[in-house]
Amino acid sequence: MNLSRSIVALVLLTAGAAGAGDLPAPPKAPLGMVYIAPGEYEPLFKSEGKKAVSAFFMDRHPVTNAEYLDFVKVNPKWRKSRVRRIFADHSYLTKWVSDDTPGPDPEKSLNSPVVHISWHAARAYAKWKGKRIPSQAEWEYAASASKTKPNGKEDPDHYRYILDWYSRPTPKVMPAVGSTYKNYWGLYDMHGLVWEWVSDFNTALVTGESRGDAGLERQLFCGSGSVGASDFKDYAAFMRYALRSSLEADFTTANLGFRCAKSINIPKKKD
Amino acid sequence: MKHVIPFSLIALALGCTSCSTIPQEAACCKAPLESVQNAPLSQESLYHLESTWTSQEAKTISLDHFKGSPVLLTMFFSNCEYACPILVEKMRSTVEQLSADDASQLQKVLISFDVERDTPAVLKKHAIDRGLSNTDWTLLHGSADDVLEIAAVLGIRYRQEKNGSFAHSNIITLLDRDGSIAYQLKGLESESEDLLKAIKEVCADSKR
Repeated sequence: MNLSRSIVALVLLTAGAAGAGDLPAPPKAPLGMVYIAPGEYEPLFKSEGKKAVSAFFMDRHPVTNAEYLDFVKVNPKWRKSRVRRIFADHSYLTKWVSDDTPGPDPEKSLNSPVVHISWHAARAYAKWKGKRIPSQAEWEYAASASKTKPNGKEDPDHYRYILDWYSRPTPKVMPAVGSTYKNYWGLYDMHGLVWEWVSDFNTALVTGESRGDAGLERQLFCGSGSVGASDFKDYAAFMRYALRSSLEADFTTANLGFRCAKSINIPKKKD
Repeated sequence: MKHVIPFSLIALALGCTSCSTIPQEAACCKAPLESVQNAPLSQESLYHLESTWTSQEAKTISLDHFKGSPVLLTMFFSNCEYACPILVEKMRSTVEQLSADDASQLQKVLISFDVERDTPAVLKKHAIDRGLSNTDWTLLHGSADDVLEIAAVLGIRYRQEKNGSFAHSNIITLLDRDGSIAYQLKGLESESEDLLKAIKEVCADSKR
């Protein structure tokens, strides 16, 4: 039993990892984070080619209002009333009752993911925590895991779950973090609660052939974009790409939050 | 933020800001009007960014170094064979249509996407090869993270391709004296008439 399980685990790990023959024991993740094993991420557009993703740590759940409150308390320039417009648009933390009271419900919202947050704000929070926000490759790789598999793309239930969520309107008061399922890596809410910022959102949908801005849109909305896609069925990924390509760094919206990641300094191999 | 230019040098150059002949200072060293220099930044100013850069003259500068002058800015990489030369040429031809006074006020800034290869030395060579004079043009090298940030602020999307080149949006940005975006010219085929008009307005505004 134990043996067969470890063989399965080994197969799963080696399936994506390059040269993963002699993996060291995974490092212990910091509190509130989980370890994501190295693997490979296949971008939506073939022209980008597969990308290797190194092992990294990722927050178990999206950053909550309570956690963000801690940040603004000691970083006054990120308060709702003080933030500079270059870093966040007018709806920054718009549901908060005041500078130091999350909302819309001061009590219930504490453990909900912080939303109406800009890319700059997410980065500043992460930096303050000694972390960073994940790259698109890292996020997509970690989010492709279903409840039981690191690659949930082949799991029809997983896929249906994501699309079902995309079709539901955003609730007035966000549910608490951890209210959706836990995926293979131990991450909660990768799908089903909020969309999340990635560090390189502004690299979405630029392809080698489209160097003018008009070209970008043509690539996005005409057939040429989908012809180059690596997985025609992955409508959910199309939606995430489309969302990212529509974002600007100061944008804040009702269903866009974030979580942090952290690089791992790989210890030298021991014989 | 760090100012690396001694104040005495600024004071020295201050006398010459209105001259149409440009003193032999690097573009980054020309001094803007003092009144604007001391005013608080507007909410939208790019000069709130805390990134630091290295010029082709290996000088460390922060963005607010340009505070007080109108700035024409684009992002590029020196190995670019297609779009970037067109962008730079567009900037140059636009500047040539300005009055000598407006042209001398306007700072011309190029920020490289290519943090690996476009070192200050490479940027200096590029400037010489392209005939971009030291007095007029500042070419900047920065960290990957700072490049990502300023691109995001400017609404520029880019990605490095497998061959090392960059796919990127083609946007020329005009900053007012305060560092806020006054106008953006998008795409390679756009007419630069509106940009020209916007530059003239920003320069006129600067003289108030």
